[in-house]
Amino acid sequence: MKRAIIVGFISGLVAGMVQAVLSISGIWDFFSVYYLIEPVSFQHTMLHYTILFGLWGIVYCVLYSFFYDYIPNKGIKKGIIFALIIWIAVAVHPALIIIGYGYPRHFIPLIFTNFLSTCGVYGTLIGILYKR
Amino acid sequence: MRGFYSGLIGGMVAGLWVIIWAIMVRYEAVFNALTSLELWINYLIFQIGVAGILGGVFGVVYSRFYRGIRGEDVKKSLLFGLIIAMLANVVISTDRLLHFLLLEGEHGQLLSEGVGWLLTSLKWILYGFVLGIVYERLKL
Repeated sequence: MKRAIIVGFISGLVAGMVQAVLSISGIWDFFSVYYLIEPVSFQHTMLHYTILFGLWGIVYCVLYSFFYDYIPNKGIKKGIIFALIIWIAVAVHPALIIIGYGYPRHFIPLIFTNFLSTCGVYGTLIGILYKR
Repeated sequence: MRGFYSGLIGGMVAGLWVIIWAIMVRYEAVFNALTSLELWINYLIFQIGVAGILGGVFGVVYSRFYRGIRGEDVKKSLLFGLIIAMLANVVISTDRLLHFLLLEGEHGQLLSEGVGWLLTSLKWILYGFVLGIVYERLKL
């Protein structure tokens, strides 16, 4: 449990930093003419995502440790598969609901940037760092 | 495939519940956005379709994690539904709360987010309940 908390926190912090950089970078503007809610500073975005990913990273990694034996594959692939499940529940689900109301441009960038930070960074890191 | 079909049915029932709930309480976000019959039909198909497909995907996850989830019978799937509710609703709620808290020092959102979370979580708790019944009892 202690290892899961530490690994989850560290992986979450790094993924949060990546998410903040992606949110500010041109990738977001490439998909959307709007920010998620309103334009914000880089410092604010960095603080926002590092806190969010850092705290939830712990919860995700505790869940990962519970279901470790039931997730297919090994090492990095195992982590990425778990992060993919998290990404579907956390980013794809709310985005699809909002797209259903007729606001696709706000959430398509969120799905894409979240995929890179959650699956690409967080999943890879817990796959490497967490071992039973 | 048993997990997928069970989840598909569970998700579609949960999607239907969201629409019934939105009509029952005259949910503002829905009523303001959907101004014509065509948009309503679109919304119906979209809600049930999305919840059904996502429910099916989570049903597959449920069947893989089955032995790792505590409890028995419907209690097991209810616990799984609660985990999905936490991931699908609470994370996005904390995201919004953090945004307003850091940007504007706004605390007033906390209560409305909490109430909103309770209501939207019912969708995935209902999903867990239906998933359990279909998965355990009907064994498709």
